Amino acid sequence: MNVWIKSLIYSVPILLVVFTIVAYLTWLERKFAARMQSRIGPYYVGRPHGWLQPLADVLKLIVKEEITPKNVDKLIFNLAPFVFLFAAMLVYTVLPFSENIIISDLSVGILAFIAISSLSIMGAFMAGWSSNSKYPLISAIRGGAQIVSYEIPLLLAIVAPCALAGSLKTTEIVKAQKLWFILYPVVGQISFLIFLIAGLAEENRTPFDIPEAESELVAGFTVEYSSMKFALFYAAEYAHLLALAGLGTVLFLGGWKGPFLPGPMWFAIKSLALFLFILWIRWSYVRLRIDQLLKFSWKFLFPAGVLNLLLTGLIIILK
Amino acid sequence: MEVQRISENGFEELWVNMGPQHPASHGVFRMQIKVEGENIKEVIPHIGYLHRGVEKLGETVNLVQFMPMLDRDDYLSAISNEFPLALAVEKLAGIEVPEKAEYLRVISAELMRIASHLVFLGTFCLDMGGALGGGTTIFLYTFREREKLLDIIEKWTGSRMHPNLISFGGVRYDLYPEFDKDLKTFLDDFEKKIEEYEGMLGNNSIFLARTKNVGILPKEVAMGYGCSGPVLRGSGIKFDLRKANPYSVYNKFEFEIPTGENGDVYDRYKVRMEEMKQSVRILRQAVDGIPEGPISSQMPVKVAAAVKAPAGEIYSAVESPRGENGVYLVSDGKPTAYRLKLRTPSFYNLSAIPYLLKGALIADVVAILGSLDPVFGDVDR
Amino acid sequence: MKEVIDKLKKDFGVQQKNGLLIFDRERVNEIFKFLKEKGFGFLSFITAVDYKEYMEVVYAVKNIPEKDILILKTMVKQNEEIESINDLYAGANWMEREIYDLFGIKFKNHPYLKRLLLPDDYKGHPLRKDFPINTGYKNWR
Repeated sequence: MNVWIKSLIYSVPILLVVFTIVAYLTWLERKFAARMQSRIGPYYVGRPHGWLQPLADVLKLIVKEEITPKNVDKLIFNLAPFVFLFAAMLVYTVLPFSENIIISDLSVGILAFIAISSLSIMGAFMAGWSSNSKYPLISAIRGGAQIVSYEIPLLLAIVAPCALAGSLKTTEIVKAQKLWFILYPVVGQISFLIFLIAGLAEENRTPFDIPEAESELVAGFTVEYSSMKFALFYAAEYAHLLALAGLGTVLFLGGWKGPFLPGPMWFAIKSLALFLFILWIRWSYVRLRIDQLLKFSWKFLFPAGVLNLLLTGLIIILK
Repeated sequence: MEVQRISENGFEELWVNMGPQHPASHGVFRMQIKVEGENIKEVIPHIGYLHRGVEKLGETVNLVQFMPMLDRDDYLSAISNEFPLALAVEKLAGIEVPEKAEYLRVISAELMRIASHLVFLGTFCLDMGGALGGGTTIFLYTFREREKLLDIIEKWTGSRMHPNLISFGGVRYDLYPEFDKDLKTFLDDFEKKIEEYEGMLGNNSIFLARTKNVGILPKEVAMGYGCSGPVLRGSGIKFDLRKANPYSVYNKFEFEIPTGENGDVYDRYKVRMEEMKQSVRILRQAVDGIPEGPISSQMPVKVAAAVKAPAGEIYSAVESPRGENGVYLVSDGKPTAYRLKLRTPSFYNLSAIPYLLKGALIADVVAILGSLDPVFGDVDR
Repeated sequence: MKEVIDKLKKDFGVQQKNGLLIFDRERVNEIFKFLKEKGFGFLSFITAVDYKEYMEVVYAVKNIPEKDILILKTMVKQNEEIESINDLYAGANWMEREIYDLFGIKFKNHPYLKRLLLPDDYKGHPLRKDFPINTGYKNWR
């Protein structure tokens, strides 16, 4: 009973907070994109800045009619959004918001993060397969190929700062950053770049968003979903992206460290800055073709990641 | 699953339908694509969703009444549709056009050329980047420029996309007083913007990877299909009707004809970008040298049946942003034409699709279709 | 271009009336093969005109390097067929399909002669002069 109560006390606030933040992240994305495209963005709902827009969107999605096509595999169809959401939410447990504020300080925190976030491909593939239609199937297959190929460079890029810090525990990694790892001579920048690119590919963000919002084969693997289930996919994608930005701050940008302001605020600011950078990339680039994507991963990122790791090992030995 | 499986050599092939309603097909166009994995084996295109019977209308309606209907053909560059009909009738009937009217016709044609190429740029990047993503950014920028251009045309003729400007013997509307100031501000601003777009896309390795060596159209194939305009020039053939058979006053202006090398998607994109710059050049020369004079050599008609073309046949063509836009007119002396064939460029450009898509990947379909720049009002008439 | 026209008149039986070139429909393939060798590799358009007793099929080819254009016509009576030039010019595929669709002239040896612009089950050929218009025809079902 103790375990259940404890988990409830920890999980419910996290879920509520993360959902609200995710809803406002959609607002932020729309405003940011609009300003980049010389227009205004959400304006009417809650003048003058449209800050009630996420509320309107959530209400609309709740009230919409739930359409399920006839020949779908009902169990998997209904389960897929939850698997996707589960993978996105559970990773928040290992992110340190401050020195003492962390839900579960596993000694293999980073490994747990990567393992859990890989479950998202399961959700995507379940959605694509059970939809019983050509376009989601093609999109799910492409998504599977893409995510699997980019796991390895992501891992290689994450292992480098872990090796520099000497531990897989997230709090240890932040404590070991007297100098932010991104500012480290050569390996810091290369690791960060590989992390960013592979992370974008993991999240299905442009320029790697082949499984999702393609204008060639309509809306990707979520095409047969409507109303709340679609909202769950959408929210899960943003939550996962924010978690990835959080991981980036922990590994490369120094976590909660910083003068004047308390730890969690610095963590939030850094994560948000990384998130905005990811948004900026999305709204500036056209997307790659699937075969070019896979070639890029296997022929370029993977050797670069291996070389980077060797260099890191060399630096550690020489120190 | 309602998937048709045709097993050949152990692989399964799938018929995918890019239906008439599609975010990236530039209009109503249906393609049945036979796909094996990601490679395309065969394409069956279906057109005709926008067929309005314009050629039959040409046989029932008077020539003067038919002019505005031609605007609706290639609705993105309307002047290039009215131009050949006016040239044809004027040549048959021996009507002279005053020089000021010729200058005005050239100015409007080049303005519409810029507008059409801006739409091409916007929708090309939109298709490749996705409706939410980098493509939309460029789409919104180009349409912002186009709005300024359409404002100029609206002040001149009263309507944005269907100006109904050219009449037999001249033009219909005269310029308003601040026209050259407006046009010069627009041109100065636009030159900077073209450089910005080229900077955004020209060295972008993702864009280059998507467009280089994709959809290659060799020279003989392009000529055999009857492709013209940027599609033909992208394949390396330097042929432009404005220089080859000059009509109107184009022989007074200095401009170049950009050509591509390989005939891939990137070359066609580059040809259109350069054409926009050359249009700006022509416009600068034209707006400085507009002579004085009447705008039409004919009195405005009171009865539509008053304009007759003498009996004969003639084919006259104009360089529209998409290619060779021509009219084959068979007239028997009555106010209605006997047969009016519209040689619209997009129909012939689009007929090369089965050749281009064979052996491409599904992801290339949108890039290739966008680079041919079809307008379905032209294709289906 | 003058030599080409003269050669056409001599060898292929092309006549010139009022400045227009008219040829015999049986010799379609020979004439266009000759023209293609002479550099007229660009097929501009193929169309048809309905003069009530007979129909004319009009071909227009261009010589891009010399900047010439040649317009040739041939007469086709009711229920007669004409050979397709699809092997010489690939674009003739859609052009001839359109003529079949709107006029009803059939082309021999065409790989896929089906309606192009109109629905597949449409009855009638609209661009003929005897197609009824202004009849109040309701074409919805």
